[in-house]
Amino acid sequence: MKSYAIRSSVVKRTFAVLLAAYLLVFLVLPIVKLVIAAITDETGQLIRGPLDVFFNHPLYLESLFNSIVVSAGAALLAAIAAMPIAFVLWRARTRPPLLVELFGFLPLFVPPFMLSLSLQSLLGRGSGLGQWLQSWGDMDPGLWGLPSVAVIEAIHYFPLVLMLLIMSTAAYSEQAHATASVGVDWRRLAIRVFLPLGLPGLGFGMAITFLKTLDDLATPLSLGLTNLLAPQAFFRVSTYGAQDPLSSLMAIAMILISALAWLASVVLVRQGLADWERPLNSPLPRIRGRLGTGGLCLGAIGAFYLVCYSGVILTSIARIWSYTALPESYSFAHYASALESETQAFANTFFYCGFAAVLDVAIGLALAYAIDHAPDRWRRLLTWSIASLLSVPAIALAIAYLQFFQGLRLPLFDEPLDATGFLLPLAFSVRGLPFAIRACHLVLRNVPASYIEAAQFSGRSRWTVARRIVLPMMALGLIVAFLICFGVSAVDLSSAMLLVPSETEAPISYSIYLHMQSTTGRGTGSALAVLVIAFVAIAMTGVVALLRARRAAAPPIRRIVFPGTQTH
Amino acid sequence: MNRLVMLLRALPAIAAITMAAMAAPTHAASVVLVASSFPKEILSAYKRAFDRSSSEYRVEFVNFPGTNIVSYLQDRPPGSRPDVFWSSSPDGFRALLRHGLLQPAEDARNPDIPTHLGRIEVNEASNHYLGQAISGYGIMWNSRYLAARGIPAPHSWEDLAKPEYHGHIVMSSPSRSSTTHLIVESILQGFGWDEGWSLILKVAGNCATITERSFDVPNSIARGRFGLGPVVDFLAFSGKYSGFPVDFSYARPSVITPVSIGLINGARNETGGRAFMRFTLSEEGQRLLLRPEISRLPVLPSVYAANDRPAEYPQLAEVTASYLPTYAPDVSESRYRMVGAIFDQLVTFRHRDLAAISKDIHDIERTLRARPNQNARRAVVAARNLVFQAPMAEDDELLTRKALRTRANNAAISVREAEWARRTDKNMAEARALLTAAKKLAQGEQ
Repeated sequence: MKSYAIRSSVVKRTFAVLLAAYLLVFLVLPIVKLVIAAITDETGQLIRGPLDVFFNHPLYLESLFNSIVVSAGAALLAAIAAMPIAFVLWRARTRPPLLVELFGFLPLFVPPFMLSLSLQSLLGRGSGLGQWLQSWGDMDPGLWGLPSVAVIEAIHYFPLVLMLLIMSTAAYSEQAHATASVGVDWRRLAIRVFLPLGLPGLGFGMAITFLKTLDDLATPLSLGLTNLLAPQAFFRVSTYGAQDPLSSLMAIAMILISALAWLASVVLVRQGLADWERPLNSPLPRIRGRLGTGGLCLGAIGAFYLVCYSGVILTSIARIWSYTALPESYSFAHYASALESETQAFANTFFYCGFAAVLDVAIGLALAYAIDHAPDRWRRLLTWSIASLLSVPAIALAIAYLQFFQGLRLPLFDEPLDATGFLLPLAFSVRGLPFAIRACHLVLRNVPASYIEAAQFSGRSRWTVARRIVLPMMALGLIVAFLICFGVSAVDLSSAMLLVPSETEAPISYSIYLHMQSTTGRGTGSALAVLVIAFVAIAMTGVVALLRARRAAAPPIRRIVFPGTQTH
Repeated sequence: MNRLVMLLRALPAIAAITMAAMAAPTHAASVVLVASSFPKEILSAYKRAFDRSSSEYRVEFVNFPGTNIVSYLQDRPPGSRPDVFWSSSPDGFRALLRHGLLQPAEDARNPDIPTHLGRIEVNEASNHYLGQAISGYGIMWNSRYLAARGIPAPHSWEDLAKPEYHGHIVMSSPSRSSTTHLIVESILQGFGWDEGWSLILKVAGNCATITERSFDVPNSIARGRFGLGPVVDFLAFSGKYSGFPVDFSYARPSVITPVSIGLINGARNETGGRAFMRFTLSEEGQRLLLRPEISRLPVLPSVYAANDRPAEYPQLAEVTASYLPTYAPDVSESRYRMVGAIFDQLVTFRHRDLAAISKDIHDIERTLRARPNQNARRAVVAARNLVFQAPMAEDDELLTRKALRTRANNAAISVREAEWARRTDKNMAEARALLTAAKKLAQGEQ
């Protein structure tokens, strides 16, 4: 299928220049400046002082090591937990309904520190299970040390890894069953069929878990852990200002680690990509409404997460909850005050993330178009380099922005750039871009060239063709792309903590983080968190309803999440 | 190289022009931007009241730990800074004053607020910052938590170093929280540098965790996650008067400080800033402080006359009497950043090791009380001296040097930090070896 082609070269060139300028100004140059700041002094002389300090400071080396270990640990734990369950589901031929499959992507749209706070309420000494089982010992996650971050992030990202595994293996579960029925051992099938099939999904899920854990600032801070790279960089910036060379070094270290992790996963995912595409499109067996092994498994997982989040849910409806297993009294006052006092935060979220998502979709469309029409060599290069954007941690990007845009004033408004909310949506948009491009790719491909040619032959103007055929064909895909980019930005607490200019302009996730820290605001923060999760779930249900309405639903979502999948 | 940097800097401006129209959230001229480290309840109460009372201005807040305000303002050119700084950190204000980042605002004063409360000077001498409330510092605890474990309520800072509190205390870091800094500094001045650090390290060794923000301390105590910790009075009272089973005691030696509000030099909206300051000092602004979720001590005496507070609400006279007379703000200011840096290197970043060693020390000492052993005793004392000691002398030139914000100075500090970190690791390793030996000796007697 050929996509709708733009013929005017002026339009093309303008787009290309704008695109290049955007990538240059908001990605390449800030990172170049970051490197320059780390290795030169005020006069531009090369220095090695910061490097010396970094490598002679036991704490920084330890943080570097810890960050890698914790992130890898989280990815491994999530994978170890997901594999047997995915296999059981595969063996039981359970294909979860689309909505459940989508809920597997909730971790991308909910910040993990909420889980950390919920578990503190649930397992801490003062409330919940922790209070009840106190004589058995301390269970507060704040006292586990570094493993707590790995465990919490693993629990948080487990559904994602599981769903990716299910998606990449599901197509062959029927055949596997057939093979098993003629006497092939399931153990053999697991090793020879399930594992190789699942590898791309697993690799991608683990890479996401690794990158997100490395980049997470709020979760370690909520657990009182500081000997990781992200909190160290955050402390350096807030104590010494953005021009501090050591924070630049830490940002660079984080970029390097992420890039290496990303490369490793690419090597892992790449094999088998070609086999992987086709079966995804073939009709899939589905769970048939009855409670089988697979249904039980999924139910148990759902119940587990309900328990995990019960800390936040209970806090949101508790009036006073102090040193008792359950709250003393309940009320919905926190929801009222959340809705009353945080309308601004909701508005900010819609503004920042909406702007970022619109930008993402626009740029994603242009880039996807460019990739589609590029010569073969370039296409691969472009695809992978865009996907590698995933490996720029939010903290590193925020530090780079603070250094690069410092002292610059916004024309027309005459405000310093970093005192406006200007940088935040741009950082969000850079971070959302890889997701946007995957989505837009599929959107473009959904516009069949034959329809357009037919319309043009029958004498319709370009405008009519665009309005009556191209837009309607793309609309749903664009909405999905927008929602994905929006959600990915909305949880990006690490950039928000560094780039938000004032509390009144904070997006909702940062607002929750701030609320959670005061004695009387905890309930409001929890209520906000519950509202956000409910909102995301409702949005997903809405998308599913829309997708159902359109038959051609499932493939786009599935492919959006596997960047690097080449289609022909 | 410089040219390249300039070129790099010019590019975004060009790009910004093209995008400004769609991207910039509008800052109307009427916005007053207040930098403050206060919790959300206080800020949103004042925002609601001020926005309602003023037709010209509307206030917005930038949440900022008081410890970082100087570097934040210096990063911004005049004319693009926030308008008002509002904080309970006297050191923060002194630093701002010294860097010329404040301007006098005599016209914002409320004549009914006295210049002195007890021995406390309410306003800065030249009105560069004005007292808006009074804060005292002390220990907050969860009554149910302590009762359930049979732990007595503490009364002094030394109490917190006792073995029965091990693992039940929560505190923040002076580098992240200006109230914690004030508590740490008042201990350093009240007990002397060396003895002060020793006490602080012992208390820190008894902590269950070191939180990122000071508000997390009263929060986790109120919920009963931890038992007790050092806090500023109003955070404890706001929990208490909101119905949580918590209590508070002013600990000695302690400073009582005015919460101040000051107009920033190079503000974007100077008149608006003055208007907001006037509002916080007015009868209405002072009365807001008495709300249960805020529970601060106003500086306007007439507000106390109205009998709308809980019976045991602290009395102004009683609080101001416990003022530490020897507290020297200029000493505190000159070593402001270093105290935070030392604490972070010795405690925050090594907290789990420190807590484990403290636990060992408590355990072995308990054994030794039952079965004395001279050699084991000596080893424990040696271990204590290694772990609970200040990393440098009070007259170190780094402490007395006025903190210049240059990259050279930062580099010097970073080098020293690395030294402390290495020495802390070494001391802890030696202490662990000593304690292992002591444990064997103590048990060998049995």
